[in-house]
Amino acid sequence: MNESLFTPFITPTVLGLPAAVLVILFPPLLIPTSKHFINNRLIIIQQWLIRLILKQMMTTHNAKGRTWSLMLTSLIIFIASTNLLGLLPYSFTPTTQLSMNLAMAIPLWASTVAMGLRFKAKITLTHLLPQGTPTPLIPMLIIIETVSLFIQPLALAVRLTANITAGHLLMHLIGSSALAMLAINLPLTLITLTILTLLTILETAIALIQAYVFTLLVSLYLHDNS
Amino acid sequence: MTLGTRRSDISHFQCQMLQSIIKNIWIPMKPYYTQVYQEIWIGMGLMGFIVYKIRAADKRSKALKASAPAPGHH
Repeated sequence: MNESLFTPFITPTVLGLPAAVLVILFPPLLIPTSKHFINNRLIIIQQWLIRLILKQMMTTHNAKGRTWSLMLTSLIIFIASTNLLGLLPYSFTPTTQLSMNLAMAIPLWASTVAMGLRFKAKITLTHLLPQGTPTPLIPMLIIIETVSLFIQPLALAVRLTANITAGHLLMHLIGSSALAMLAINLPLTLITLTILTLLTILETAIALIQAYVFTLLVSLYLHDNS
Repeated sequence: MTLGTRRSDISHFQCQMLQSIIKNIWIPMKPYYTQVYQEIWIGMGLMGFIVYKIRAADKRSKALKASAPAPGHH
């Protein structure tokens, strides 16, 4: 392996110019659109999937929360497609960059808090104190709940970054160790390659699950505040 | 000058692009951008502020390091 462990995570440049925006804008190009009423099988499968995601995400919301359907559906499709494309060799995954995940998490979280404070200020503030708290603990618990509120966007971003980065790094390490052992010990290489195959399947699942978890948590924060 | 490279051609294409953007993006998404996503604009403003603060601090620390190079470490 002639590339270092940092190479998959360097933001892409084309002849010295940053290409990160192009890489981020690329996954939607792979999703076909159709203006016809009756479509071919691929579009029908896509529409079925989007309808499934929509129903699963938005059933628990009220009318105000459902105005965010487009945002949440786009979010899960974008993160899932970006993560899955990142599993291809030599590709760059934008969601491994903390900057991008923070740029997704902070506006979404801040907008749910702003929505709560704007339309239901008293109820939003009462969320800072769980029900049934003993009186002496109230000041400390309010501080703890406030801190946990401000940690939410950081947790969202870091969770996605760490999961995807760690998975890619692990695949890189096990792949390079299998390659190094090929000339030395063939049975051990085969075992390592089996582990790598299982890990790749796991990473595919993690790519989809992390997209779901991110969107679900944003949806939960929205539900609390709408 | 050849057709398509004159300044009037370039602004004609830019007008067409603007018209296409307005017709395909702004008009369908107008209720979202103006009413539904008001708080998201506030969130994006907060994020822009944080990005500005981080970049300014980075610039300041780089300027400080460049102006006062540290002595050799033992």
